[in-house]
Amino acid sequence: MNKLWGFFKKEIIGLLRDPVLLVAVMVMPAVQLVVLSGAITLEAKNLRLAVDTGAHDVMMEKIYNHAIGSGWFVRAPNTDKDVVAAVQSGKADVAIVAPDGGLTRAVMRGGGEIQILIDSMNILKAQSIEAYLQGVVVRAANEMGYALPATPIAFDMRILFNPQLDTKWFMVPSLIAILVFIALLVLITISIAKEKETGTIETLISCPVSKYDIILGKVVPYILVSFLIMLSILIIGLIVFGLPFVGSGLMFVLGFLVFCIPGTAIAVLLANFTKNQQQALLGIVIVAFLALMLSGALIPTENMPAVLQYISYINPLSHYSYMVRSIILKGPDWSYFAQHSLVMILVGIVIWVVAIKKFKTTL
Amino acid sequence: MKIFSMRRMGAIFSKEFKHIFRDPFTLLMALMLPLAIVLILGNSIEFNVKSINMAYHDADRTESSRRLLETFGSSNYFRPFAIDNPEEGFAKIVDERARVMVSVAPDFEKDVLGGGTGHVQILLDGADNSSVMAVVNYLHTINQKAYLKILDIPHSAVAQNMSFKTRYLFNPELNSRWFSVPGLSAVIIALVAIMLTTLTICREWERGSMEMLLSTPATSLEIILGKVLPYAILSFVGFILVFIVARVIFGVPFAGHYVTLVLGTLLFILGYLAIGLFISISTHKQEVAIQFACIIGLLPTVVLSGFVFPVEYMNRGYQMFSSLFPARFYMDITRDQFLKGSSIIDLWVLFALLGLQAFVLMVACLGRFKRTLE
Repeated sequence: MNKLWGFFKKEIIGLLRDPVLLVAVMVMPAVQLVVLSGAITLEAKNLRLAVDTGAHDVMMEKIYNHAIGSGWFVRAPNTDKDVVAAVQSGKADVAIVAPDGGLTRAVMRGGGEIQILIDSMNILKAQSIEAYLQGVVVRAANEMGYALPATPIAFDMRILFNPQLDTKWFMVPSLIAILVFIALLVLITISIAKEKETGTIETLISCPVSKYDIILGKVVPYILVSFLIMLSILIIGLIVFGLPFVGSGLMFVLGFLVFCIPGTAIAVLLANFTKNQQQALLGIVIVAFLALMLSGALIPTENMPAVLQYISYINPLSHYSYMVRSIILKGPDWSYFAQHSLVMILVGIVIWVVAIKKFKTTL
Repeated sequence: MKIFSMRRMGAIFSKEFKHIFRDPFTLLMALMLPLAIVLILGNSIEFNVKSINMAYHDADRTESSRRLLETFGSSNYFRPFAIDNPEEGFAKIVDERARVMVSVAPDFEKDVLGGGTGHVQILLDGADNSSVMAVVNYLHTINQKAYLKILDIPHSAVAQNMSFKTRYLFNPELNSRWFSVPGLSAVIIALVAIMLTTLTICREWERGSMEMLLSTPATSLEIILGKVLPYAILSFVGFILVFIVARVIFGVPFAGHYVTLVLGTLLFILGYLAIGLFISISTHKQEVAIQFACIIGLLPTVVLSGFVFPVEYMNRGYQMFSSLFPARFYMDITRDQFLKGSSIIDLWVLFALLGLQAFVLMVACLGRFKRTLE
């Protein structure tokens, strides 16, 4: 225990000695959380719409007004003449083209087909444009009595846990998990890689301590640091974005500790493969980026190919980000906690076994 | 003494190059990392919403309720499975085994066909709004379709009044790979570029070799350029590899001009190398530089570049903020060149901004470097 305390002091003093480093480690995660959560929204906005509303086409005008009124679309400037060319040249994101002679006349003759032309270079945007625009046209048509028969089916819809479908409520928990992972990974990997690069690892090895002492001494201080980071960003996230904290605080803390098992194991394993900080940095990027993309924290994993779904299933970050989101927004029971924890612990043990085996205490 | 000597810059250039080749691990990472990431993830990022787990409970058990649920099932959006009672559906959503629960009320058929209102309860998991948002928008259409199906009216018979035909330009089948591979390449090249230069200067300070470099007649400009160019070449080779993978393995079409894309890529790489270099100049400790490289590089490049989340949806303030990162402009250029193929004249604004960024960042590096020497 005394040995561990010595290591502890050594690592923490190293961190406290440099005020710039301290700010980077302790304050920047909160800044990132606020800036990035604030920026992201999945709600469409500022979609540039080009409509040919010439020739007193009442219906097209109606559709156009509904579209602008919805707040999703804005008028694409200088595109009145040729709306198709406007999309092709990139001046507009979407164009609505009425049938020849105008939509109003076509519908009165019994059949009007509206052509929607969408720039699909960004398929995310293209899909939301189609969905939004269909809704707009249906509403405009309803208003004019040209709709499909009114259905007697009532969908009583309730959106649970995030009634406003606010993207920030989805992003803040995800980012908490991601930032905690990055903090653990960077702090531990660099701390070991630095000693290797400067050669001070030799001093450590020649000390009368076992390799477990060295590993623990490298890992435990940074678990504490990451815990403080997590608390600060949680509090800031809750205050700034008005998130509820539905679940149990104890579960949240335990979840963090469980995640630290595979989280620190990955960092130590990565450090084993690197000789200097440059290598460590590149290693951190590949690990963090892959973990991030295959975690479901930013991009849903449900539609991935089977192989990658398995990877995402053993990815500790995916379990942890689901757990954080669930605890903050839903308040799950302990059996949910146990399921996710079990996977994280098992994966953690496997990586730890490899990491310890690879950890060299000889020169 | 000349202000700028090609020979002196060349000396630093070749010194830096030797550093790179002496460390095969770094060299391999710099080249293979973008390739590996694109190969692994190029296939996986699927932006189309489909196969959302849907729990359903049918208390009516009639032909009509069956057809309603069929409409949900046949829409591709959902992967339906039955549950015993509606309460179980709530639990499934909490457990994340279902994102949506549909529960048909008893007497549904009687109400729908008898002139009343048939009730269907729908619960959605708002905690994952990336997939649920699309479902909410789609429910209206499902409602219409279900009613027609219950009445046995073919959809075309009703739709003749007013119908849509949607045409997608540039990516007609909404192929996710065509969308994600160019974006992914841009993000990963940016990441590698930052990570390569972020340690070059501060490492020399830390090891004490900087004093030696400064005692040579090389000027600041020569040192900066000599440090940047080897990594620019390395990053560009990485880009070529990724480009080949995108074309050959993922079959992404290329509608643009090589000159346009190469020019854009070079400016983009230069911008990110300069960001890394700026971090490196601003500190004398590798540890600090690594922290800032991860803070500036990792998440903002993924989140603010428009790779996943469209920049146009952001508030104006955030749009301005995202313009600080060259990836935002390059994302538009690379997607355009792959799928649309605009000429450089049409894209001049993006090129001007990208060039300006690279120039300002390089000048900032130079200024900062000169100041730290004084």
